[in-house]
Amino acid sequence: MDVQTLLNGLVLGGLYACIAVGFSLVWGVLNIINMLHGSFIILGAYLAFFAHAAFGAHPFLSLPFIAAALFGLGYVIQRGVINRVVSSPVLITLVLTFGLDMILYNAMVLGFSATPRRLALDMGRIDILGATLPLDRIAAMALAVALTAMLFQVLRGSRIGRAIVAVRMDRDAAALMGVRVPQIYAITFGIGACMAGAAGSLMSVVFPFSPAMTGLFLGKAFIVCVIGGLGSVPGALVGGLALGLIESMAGALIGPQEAVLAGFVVMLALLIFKPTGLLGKAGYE
Amino acid sequence: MSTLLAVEALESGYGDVQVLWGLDLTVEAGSITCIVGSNGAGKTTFLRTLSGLVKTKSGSVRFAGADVTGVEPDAALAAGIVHVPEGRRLFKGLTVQDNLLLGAYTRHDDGIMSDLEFVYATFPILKERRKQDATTLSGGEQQMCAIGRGIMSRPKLLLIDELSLGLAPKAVDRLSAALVDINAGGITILLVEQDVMTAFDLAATAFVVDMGRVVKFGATADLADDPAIREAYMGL
Repeated sequence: MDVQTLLNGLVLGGLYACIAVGFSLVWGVLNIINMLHGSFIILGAYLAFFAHAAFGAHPFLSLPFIAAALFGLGYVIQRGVINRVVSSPVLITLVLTFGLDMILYNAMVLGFSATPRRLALDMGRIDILGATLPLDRIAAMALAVALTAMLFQVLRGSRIGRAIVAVRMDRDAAALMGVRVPQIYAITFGIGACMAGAAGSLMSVVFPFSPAMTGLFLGKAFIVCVIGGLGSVPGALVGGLALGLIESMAGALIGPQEAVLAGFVVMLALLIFKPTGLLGKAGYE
Repeated sequence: MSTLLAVEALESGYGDVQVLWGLDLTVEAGSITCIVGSNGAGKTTFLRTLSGLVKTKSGSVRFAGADVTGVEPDAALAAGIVHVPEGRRLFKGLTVQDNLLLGAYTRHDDGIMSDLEFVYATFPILKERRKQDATTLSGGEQQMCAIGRGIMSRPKLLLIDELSLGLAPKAVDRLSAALVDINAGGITILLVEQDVMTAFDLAATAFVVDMGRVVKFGATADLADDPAIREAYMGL
């Protein structure tokens, strides 16, 4: 494997980790497979695109506002809609988020059209050990990894983080600690949406995007969770980097057309041979 | 002594299954009171109703002069009713200290650290093990951690469900001594216990629950001599 393939894989992997970590958190804590996650990512990308087009806002600067807006959207959706059925079997919440996703997806097609967009920044490029990388990609990857690390810190070191872990482990016992469980659910779903929005605004400088790609990103979040193991931030990071490397290696070896396929093949293999994923265990850290 | 908790004609249950059928009970401030009874009598359901985990159907609960009938768990906690649940229910994946701090989740006062020191002084082993996953502790230590977590909530009334379940006699003695100390510090304790001997040793007053009602109550010294109690619950 040459250095270029390796670096491409790591850049891609950092972004994948950021895409998947919110999905993994919501799945782990709320036991909800959030079908909206891909649309949250694309919505984040569009918000970054329009903030740039309308106000000339640099996507790295508009990111905190987009993340906050998506947090609010996620919080309201969980509080107002999903909390009503949150204790139901996973299929019910899956169907509900699937339906909400159809609404959001079609609203984006109507509002933004299906034409692929791209936020071209061109911050220049650098050479590392004979490989060339655009600086905007490296910056996006560094921010994605930093955001993932920040979420890890919040979950581990903060009062809200302890409450989220407590609710995941034992809802009744958490309620006995005075934790308002519906509120923690809404905050957790909000954080998931927030990470998706942040990831989307970072993606907007790396890939062209359109509403038709929501399913693609949802699929990637899914693969990352299965590879890395559900239920932990380090799992999402390892899974994300692994998927990035798998896709870039597959792209170099068997061609970019088959690269997406490779991720799914690895996911299926892991489901058969190691269904807990590489770092999978009970417990959210 | 004044009455801290007064429960009248309490009815509750799970969905269509009613468990409590008009339970009456009072707890005096500063006391250790116990509830004994066989499996399925409704002891745990009663504690879960007090702390808001189980919905109240009817009846009334007055606590420290306020009506707390059917309140949510966070409101019961805010009133000073703290429930140490059966089976300890510590949070896996969190350290002993993080478990203890979750007990103080709703608090914003500056007494949290001094309460933590009090818990560590009461159970020194918890301080030694404060950085390890709470669920890797022995059963007795886990019960210490669960009680410590309860103390971190600043209770007026500490509800303890099955103090001795699954623990070695030595651990039970250790915990009993700690409860006496905690009670002497001003915390009223309502203990649910299947082991009647342990319960009667600790408590001055006992309520016997059967089929979701109180069927007998009185001083533990008197009840311990009651032939019906001795036969039904102490196997004598």
